[in-house]
Amino acid sequence: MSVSDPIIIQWVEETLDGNQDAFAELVNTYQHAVYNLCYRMLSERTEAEDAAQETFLRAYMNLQRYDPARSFKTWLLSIASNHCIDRLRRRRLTWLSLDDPLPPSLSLSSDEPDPEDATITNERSAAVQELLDNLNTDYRAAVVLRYWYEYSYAEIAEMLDTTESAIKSRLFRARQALADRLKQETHADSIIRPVLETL
Amino acid sequence: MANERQRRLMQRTLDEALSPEALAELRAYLDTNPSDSAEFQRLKQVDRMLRTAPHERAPQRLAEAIMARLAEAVSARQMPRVSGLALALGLALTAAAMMPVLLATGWLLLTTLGSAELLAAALQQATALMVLGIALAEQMVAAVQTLLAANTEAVLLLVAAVPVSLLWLMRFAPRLRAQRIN
Repeated sequence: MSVSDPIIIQWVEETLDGNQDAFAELVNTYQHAVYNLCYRMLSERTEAEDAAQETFLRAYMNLQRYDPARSFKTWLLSIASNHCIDRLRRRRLTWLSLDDPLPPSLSLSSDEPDPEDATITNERSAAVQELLDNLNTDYRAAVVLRYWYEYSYAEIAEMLDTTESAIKSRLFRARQALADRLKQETHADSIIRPVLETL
Repeated sequence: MANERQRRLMQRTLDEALSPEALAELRAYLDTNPSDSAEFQRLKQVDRMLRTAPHERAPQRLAEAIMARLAEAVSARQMPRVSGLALALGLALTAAAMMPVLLATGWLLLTTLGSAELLAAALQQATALMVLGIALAEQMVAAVQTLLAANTEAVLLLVAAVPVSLLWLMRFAPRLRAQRIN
């Protein structure tokens, strides 16, 4: 895993010295990466926001355990993915079924310049999210870390505290499940089919 | 229907370049098996769809919300430390208040033992110590009065030293704590 930039290490050290402004710099740098991971895992924007907040809070409280020889982003995303896995397991325990996909939000962010492009991006994002909703927690974590963050099998295994062969197997089964899902996507109101046609 | 090896080859092409032999084997198999060829196409579609999936941007308020929550958490963590300080102060005051009781108890004990000479010697020692303490305190007060009379700016310096010390404690206490944990 790659080492963090010197400026990141400096912000970490300054945070350990009690400078919260330095931690704010870390938040600004990694908020999008952490939020995206939480959203892809949890499929719900409000919960993703809460999970992202919790991730940064945990990172702050455990900052002295961070090893500067490793990538800070990887460390942070590892906290985020494990936290999201815990949330999904708790969600299952409280009988909020994952079989009832939450409606994808198509709202536009105010900082997106072109509404048409934004709509296409949102449709694509929602379609991918509908596919991900069909995967179980462990498969979903492996897929998100592989495709959105381009981590290797070994890196994902370390982040999720498992073996490389387990990750390979999870990705294999996840892709197979998603391909099977595509085969069933023939109904007219599918949001996946139009996106597939653009690929 | 593809066997385990052919399925693995299909998956591996998505992650890495296959050897020419393995690629030829897969192509030959797919050419003669249209249903598995269709499945392979779906796998490639899934792969493309995931690879081109957009990154969701965090809402603008997220960073602000994180820092607000962090401030709350940090102040909540500092509360028990303040309580610990208050407890230590309380114990010290109680111990000071207990001193006359302890002395009285000691006196009673010595009286009970019936050694008037020993009691007198102990009282003399205690009195001498108290007199010494009072004399030292008087000297310190006199020295401070002289200093303040000579230099009025020293009063301001002493007043300013209080918030500066508190700020120093707030800034360096987390680092000292982290070093202690490590």
